[in-house]
Amino acid sequence: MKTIKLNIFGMHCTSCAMNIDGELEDTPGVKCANTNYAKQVAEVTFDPEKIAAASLILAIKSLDDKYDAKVAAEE
Amino acid sequence: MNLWTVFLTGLFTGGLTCLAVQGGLLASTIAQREEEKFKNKAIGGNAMPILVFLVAKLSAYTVLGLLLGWFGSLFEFSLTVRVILQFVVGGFMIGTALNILNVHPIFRYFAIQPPKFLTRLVRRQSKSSDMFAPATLGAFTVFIPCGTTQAMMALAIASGSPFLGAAIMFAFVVGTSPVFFILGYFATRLGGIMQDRFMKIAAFSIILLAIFNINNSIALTGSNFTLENAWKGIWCTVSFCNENSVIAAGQGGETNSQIANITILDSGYSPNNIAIKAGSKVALTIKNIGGSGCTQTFTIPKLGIQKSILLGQTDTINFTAPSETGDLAFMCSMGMFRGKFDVI
Repeated sequence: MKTIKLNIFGMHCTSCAMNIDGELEDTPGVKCANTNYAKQVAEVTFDPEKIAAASLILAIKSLDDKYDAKVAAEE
Repeated sequence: MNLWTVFLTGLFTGGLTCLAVQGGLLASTIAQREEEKFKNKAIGGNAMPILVFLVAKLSAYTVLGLLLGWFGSLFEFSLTVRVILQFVVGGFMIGTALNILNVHPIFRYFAIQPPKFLTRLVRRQSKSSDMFAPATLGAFTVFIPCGTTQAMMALAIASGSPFLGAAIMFAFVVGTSPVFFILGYFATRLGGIMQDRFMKIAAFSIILLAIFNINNSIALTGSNFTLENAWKGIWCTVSFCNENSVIAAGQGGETNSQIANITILDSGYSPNNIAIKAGSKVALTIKNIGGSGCTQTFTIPKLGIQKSILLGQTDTINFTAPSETGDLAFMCSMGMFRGKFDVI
């Protein structure tokens, strides 16, 4: 398991954060996602053998065009 | 403040401010519905889940009102606690509004994000059952009350009666429901621009309400620096101000006090301007014939006097007027209905 931090852009309320968490956790290979609206950051724990960080970003973008994400830190 | 006023507060202001705070939960109700519609290719409106959401919300808040009223019947919040509470609520509302207006990232911290376990629970439910999720979500709004709701909750506590507390919360939430329903129903149809505009209107309404709230808190501290006093000051310098104050009747009673009378009406205190002699003893008789909300708790902040005179009751407060002349403000427990003694 690997945990990364993503900077999220385009969130304008807390329900955006909720939706992003939901979408990420529905993505196979993701164990848990924790998006913080105030910090505009998502912490995602996933299995790197099943899914790549780039696919996580794509999943977020697929929710809505207004979202964008960038890897901020890897642990 | 009667129940009708509470309803109107809900209708005109509560709906908007609460949507700003609780909108997230309503939005996820709709979002889930949309997702399901997409999956099932079902044709149908958004009305049902929103209605279920609102009914659950109404029930939850009525129960909350009942509990708060019961809680309030056990003891009264001290004046200081109430002033602090109102200032905090006012500050919170302004923070919320500035977040909506996207003024600075720091204000994002004012947006209350529902706890993770709650959103997970809701998501799990949305997959298993159709109506259970919106119902749970509606009930959960109890845990994220908005500024106006918090003021109503304080009112429910101040009512000191479980029945009245429940009635206040019921009337308020019924008032907020049309805005929730309309916006919830059309949310998915509103274009981005409309949504943007709506949020701006909501933000400015919240700021206005917050100013009103803070103004009340200032009044509650016993200070005379309230907005209407400032306005009166400006007005009186350009025009001739004729303030009619009712002069308290002469000496009387066993304690040889000045006698003053105030009647609590539905619309506030009458008279709301009474002249009393500086340094004298005052026997103030208060008769409540119309006040069912916060007007029941008569407050003189400067003298630290607070007394509850429930609807239908009459009571007398004895106090000594300040030795300096000037205004001595009195008001309800929330600082909303006000008046003053003209100390001469």
